[in-house]
Amino acid sequence: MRVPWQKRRSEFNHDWLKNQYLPALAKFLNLLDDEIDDENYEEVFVRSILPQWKSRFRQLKPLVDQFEDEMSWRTLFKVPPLCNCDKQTKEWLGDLVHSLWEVKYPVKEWTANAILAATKADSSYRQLRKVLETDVRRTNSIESLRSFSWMFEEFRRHCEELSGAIEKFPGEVKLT
Amino acid sequence: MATTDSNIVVIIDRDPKRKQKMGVAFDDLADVRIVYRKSSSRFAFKTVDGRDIESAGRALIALRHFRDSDDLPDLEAYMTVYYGGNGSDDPACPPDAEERIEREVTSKLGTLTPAEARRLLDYATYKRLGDNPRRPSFLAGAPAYRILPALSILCQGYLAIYAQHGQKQSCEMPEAVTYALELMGWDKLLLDKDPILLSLRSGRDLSQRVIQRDWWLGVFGVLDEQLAVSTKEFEEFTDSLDEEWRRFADQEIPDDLSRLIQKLSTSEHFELTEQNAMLAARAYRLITEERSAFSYPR
Repeated sequence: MRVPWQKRRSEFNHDWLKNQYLPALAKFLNLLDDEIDDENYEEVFVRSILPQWKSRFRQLKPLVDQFEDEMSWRTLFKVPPLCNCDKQTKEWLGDLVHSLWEVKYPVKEWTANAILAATKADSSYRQLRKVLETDVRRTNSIESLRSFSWMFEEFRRHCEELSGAIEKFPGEVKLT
Repeated sequence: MATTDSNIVVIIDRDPKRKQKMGVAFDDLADVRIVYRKSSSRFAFKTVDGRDIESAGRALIALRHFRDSDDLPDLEAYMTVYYGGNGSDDPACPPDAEERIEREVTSKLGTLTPAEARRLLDYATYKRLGDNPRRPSFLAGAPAYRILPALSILCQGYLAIYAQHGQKQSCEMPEAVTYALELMGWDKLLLDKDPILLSLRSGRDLSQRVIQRDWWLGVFGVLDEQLAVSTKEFEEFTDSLDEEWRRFADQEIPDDLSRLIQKLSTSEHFELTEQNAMLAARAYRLITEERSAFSYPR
């Protein structure tokens, strides 16, 4: 059985970002490039798909922050048989195995890279929203969006980098 | 490795990188046929090297990505193993899925290792022959390891206190102990001057605590209220340990691990001596090196 953190990571990265949001962004970019024809998609994307980022971004920081707490070897002291250790042992041996885990795996690096990638993606998203809410609203057409396709492209690139950074977190942690 | 008339592994996965990586794990072990879809046709499949999949007959193992379950629905295989980027509880998992890889499988996170591929082939072969082999630990539903990871952690705690006790230099410790400490990553903690070192050094009573039998065996519920070994519980514990080790390493429990347990059971104290540290170091090394590592959490 996988722990909740792994499930939450899967839901965010595998289910939503990689298999829903990025393909939707790619489709929208294809639309801007005239590679596909879908009259309704422009509106659907701008109105209901693109803004999904906002609520998902809010879920991301807790997910990254909780990695250390939920995936450290220290958590073994919460389940049998090590939960039977005395309180003092749980503290010092828990701290010791946590420190050993941190020197064996680039835990801080994984976390910092994910936060950095998320911040870049969010910054791109905010710029996009600003443009959509000012310049594009005036004309309300695919033509006006085309001149900003580079911004959508940049946002997609940052989302892909974020997905890669989240994938760097191990799918399982090895106890060595 | 066990053999049957079929040694064919078919990989059905629309992600080109992932299926290639999965195939590499079986290199030199099986006749691997990686399937790709011809154009957009749902039913025309060829293997990457051009062989007809239909000519393969019944495969020993079909490895199927969860979301590609509809491809080649009539493929015959003695065992079908599903996998995907969500781990074993993927919502796309068919309700009758026979076997599933527990962890998340992607081209970046990794597929199966060659050692796991060998275990899977053995597992499928023995099942095909009508035996009841132990399910490999990377498959969903395999029993979890409980005792070995806990023993590994207790050994690490004991060795850390041994190293800190009197602040021994590496050259003052037996080679088996310095090797085990290195495996633990202890040298990196020293280099980083990790605050945990100060905490271990200042906790003077820790060196008295880790030598107590109940510090080791109390965790496994084998001591009575007077902290004496309870025969029945101890036998159950050693049986479970034997079973875990056989499942873990496919062999009888090694002497060093048995000796550690016996010594803990027959004496109230496991003093911080060179001899005892060597025994703990060898037990830790056995658990750690036998198969590289435990997947956690399991």
